[in-house]
Amino acid sequence: MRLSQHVRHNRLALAGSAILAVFSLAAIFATVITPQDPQVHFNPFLSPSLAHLLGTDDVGRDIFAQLVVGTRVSLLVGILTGLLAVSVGVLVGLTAGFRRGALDELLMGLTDVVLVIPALPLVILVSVYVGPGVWNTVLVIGLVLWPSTARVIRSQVLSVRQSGYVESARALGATDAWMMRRHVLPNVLPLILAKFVLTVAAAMLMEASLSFLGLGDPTANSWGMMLHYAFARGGFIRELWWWYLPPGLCIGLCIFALSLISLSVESESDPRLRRALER
Amino acid sequence: MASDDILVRGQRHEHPSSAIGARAARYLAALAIIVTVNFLLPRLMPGDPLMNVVGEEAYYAAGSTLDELRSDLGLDQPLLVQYGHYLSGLLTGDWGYSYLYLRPVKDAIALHLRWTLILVLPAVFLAALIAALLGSLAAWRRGSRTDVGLTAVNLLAYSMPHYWLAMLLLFIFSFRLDLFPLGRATTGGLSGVPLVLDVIWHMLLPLVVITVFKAAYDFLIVRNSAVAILGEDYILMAQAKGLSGMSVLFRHVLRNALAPLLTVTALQFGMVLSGALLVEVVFSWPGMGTLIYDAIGARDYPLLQSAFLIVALCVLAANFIADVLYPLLDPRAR
Amino acid sequence: MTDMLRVSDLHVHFDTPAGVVRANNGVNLRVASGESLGIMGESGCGKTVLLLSLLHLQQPGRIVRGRILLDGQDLVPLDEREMERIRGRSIALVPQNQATALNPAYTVGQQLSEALVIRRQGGSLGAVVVRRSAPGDSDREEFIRVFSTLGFEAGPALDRLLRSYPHQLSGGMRQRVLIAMALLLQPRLLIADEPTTALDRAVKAQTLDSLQRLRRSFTMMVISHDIETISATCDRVAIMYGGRIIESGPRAEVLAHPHHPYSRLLLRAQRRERGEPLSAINAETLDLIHFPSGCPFHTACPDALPRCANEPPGEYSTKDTMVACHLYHTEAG
Repeated sequence: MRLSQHVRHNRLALAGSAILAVFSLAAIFATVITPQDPQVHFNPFLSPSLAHLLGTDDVGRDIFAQLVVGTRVSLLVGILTGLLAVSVGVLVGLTAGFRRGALDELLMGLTDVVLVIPALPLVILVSVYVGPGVWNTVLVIGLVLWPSTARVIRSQVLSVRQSGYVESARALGATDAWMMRRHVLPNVLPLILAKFVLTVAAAMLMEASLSFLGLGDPTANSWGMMLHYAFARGGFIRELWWWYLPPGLCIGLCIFALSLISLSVESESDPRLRRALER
Repeated sequence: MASDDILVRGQRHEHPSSAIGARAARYLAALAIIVTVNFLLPRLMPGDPLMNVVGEEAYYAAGSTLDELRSDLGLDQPLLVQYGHYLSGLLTGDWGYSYLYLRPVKDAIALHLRWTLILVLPAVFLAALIAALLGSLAAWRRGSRTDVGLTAVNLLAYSMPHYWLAMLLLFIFSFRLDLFPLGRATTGGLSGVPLVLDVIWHMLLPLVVITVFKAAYDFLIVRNSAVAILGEDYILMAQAKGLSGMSVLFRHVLRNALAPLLTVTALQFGMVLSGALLVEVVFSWPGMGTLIYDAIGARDYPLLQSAFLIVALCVLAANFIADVLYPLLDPRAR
Repeated sequence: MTDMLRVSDLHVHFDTPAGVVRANNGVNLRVASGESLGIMGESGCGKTVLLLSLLHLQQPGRIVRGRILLDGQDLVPLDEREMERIRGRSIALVPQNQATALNPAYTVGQQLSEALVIRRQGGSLGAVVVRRSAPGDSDREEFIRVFSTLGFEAGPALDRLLRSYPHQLSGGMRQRVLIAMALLLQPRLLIADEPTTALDRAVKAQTLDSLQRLRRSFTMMVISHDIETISATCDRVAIMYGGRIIESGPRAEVLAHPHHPYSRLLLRAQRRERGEPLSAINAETLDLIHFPSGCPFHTACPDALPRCANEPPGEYSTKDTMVACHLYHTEAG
């Protein structure tokens, strides 16, 4: 597939994928590789040592263990939300792009309105009412992230529709479904992938922000929740940088890796070269 | 126009496509929906609508007078009637009472909003300026070590959670180096010029965080814009006239990158504002962020609802202002 | 007559993912002072790259070999700062794309004033940025002078023009503005890249008229594939193919009696006689990456000799004409 070609030829994507691979492996083998059980209570506020690589938190739980196990939650929420938001977005985008007319206007109107409402405040408000929980979070964040994908997909569908070979296919009697499969989908697939990567990143950031404010799921200890506890339970005031720096760093690295991958999908050619060769 | 959707948080922006009239209509529709959502949420969410409307503290404080309170607030009436009361309440300034701050919601918000704007508005302009300069430079030196370095640094800065960045800076410069205060907007008891200076001293670190956060995003946008602009014929023409590289950069590239930058700034104002909220929490800055954080803790729903409304209004206003200003920057749109 | 411009053995290459594109392959040409040279050829023959190379604006292309002598000074080894002094004030370009060659964010007056500032003070950042953006009075005098040269008199129409933005103007008007901009720079050499392409007949006539007037006072190089334009504006003409000049000589001579087989085909294709079928050059576009051996035209040449496939032809001259073709090897001295 073309994506693997990009990855192979492109060092950016390679670096990004490598970083993500490390985190994914950590997530999958979390319970195996963690040196301590994150639920066990040792002495609180311990400094880093061989036994506790990042010390312990305010109730004595090993921070490094929490970091490793937290990988699962953070990545999972990101991926699930990404799947949800992109699915909805693709559905809306394809429908609007294909059907056109009143349905298109309605859907795009809805999309625009949701786009203009500030995302985090809305998510905070709804979260406060629905309460904590991984699935709640996925739903609420997915609620605000689908419009961007919808818009982009719709644009792509429109531009494919206006291209010559689609018109001739239509003239020959091709049905919508056939055109969707043969012409639209191949063009739209790379775009969907790129948007998925970006959406996962945005979802991870939003989940972290929500958790930082205390709206995350306390039973699912994500990196964002670790930051919340570190800040709210005295870790910050006591200058226990080994508690709050690592989770944030992990979030940042994941986002960085995802951004690298999404950037590499857009290969940048020198516009002057294009111009010179066209003359 | 700048390529959209190349970045993570930049997910939600698009470029303006229709006339001012249509856009104003869109903003009004958004406002209507926001207000309606605000109205419906407490009444449809799990839990007793009364608690959702007055907040947990008030609910438990009411004790035996719950039913009285319920009919006082009209919660036993049909939804449409309630909606009418709600709207008229909004317009007349009755936004509810906050048990957390023990004052009308409207007053609490006004107090906190001011501090947020003091922090956010300068950050937005500073960030745009820095990003415009660095982005054009990176595009001009495309592929060089300057470009790669700048892009990598900005991408990294943009990826880190900004409130984490805030904690890091506060740790290094306040806790360890003792150069800046530990938080809040002012040490208290000052007025006049000393007050202003004191506020500025407190403002510096949070301002840096928000500026860096926004500038990192803007940089990538400007760089993309500038690269596209550099491929334009009028840039070649400017060089052919004998303009030096720097002149071409400032007079032609930058100038044409301003319009897309304005659009992005406006469309991302929501993101910046949201970001600022979390940074305020870290610095105990008495703005909307701290208000929301405290309100979440106390489940003070009236406060939260109105905070959301105000933030949304600010974002809509920013969008509208940008739409009005756009033709000034792009003569083709006049 | 001394040569104002002399290009020797110019090779310009572009690195692309598909391979190295050899856009210019040993271009030799001369433009004498006060003379007007026309360059004809199909798209892709390397004309525009040649022009841009004179100004060192051929990036991302590289000048691989050759010399460009302007009044005896070789431009090829000059650095960016030195080239900035040459551009505009020594060599001025009238570009091809009038629709996109003006900055949409500035008025015509502002952009013309910029040209004046460059002429007076140079193009460095300090001089240009500090200048206020609206044109002053002495500027207006210059504008009037230049536009009347082009047949556009002073008056409210000119004032309106100066206050307009490029997108508000017609193509022909923009073309005039671009010519005016080049004139304001008072260059030694004026280069026009396809000045009449994409213009309708009436505007084309106007533009040719302007260019003819300029012939008297400027040394010019005109690139065009249009015979009418070349006839109206040039003293000598050179024909380009595959990144080389394959024929050159006095304009009337070359147009009436082309020697090189490609020239013949090109000119016949350009001329359209009523009632006659359109003739075409029966060849595919030359692949500039995988150059054919010998003469680049030999695969499509109706008169190709066996040696044409193996030996690239040299330049064979008589008096003031030159042909790069084996057919004329015996005729030359």
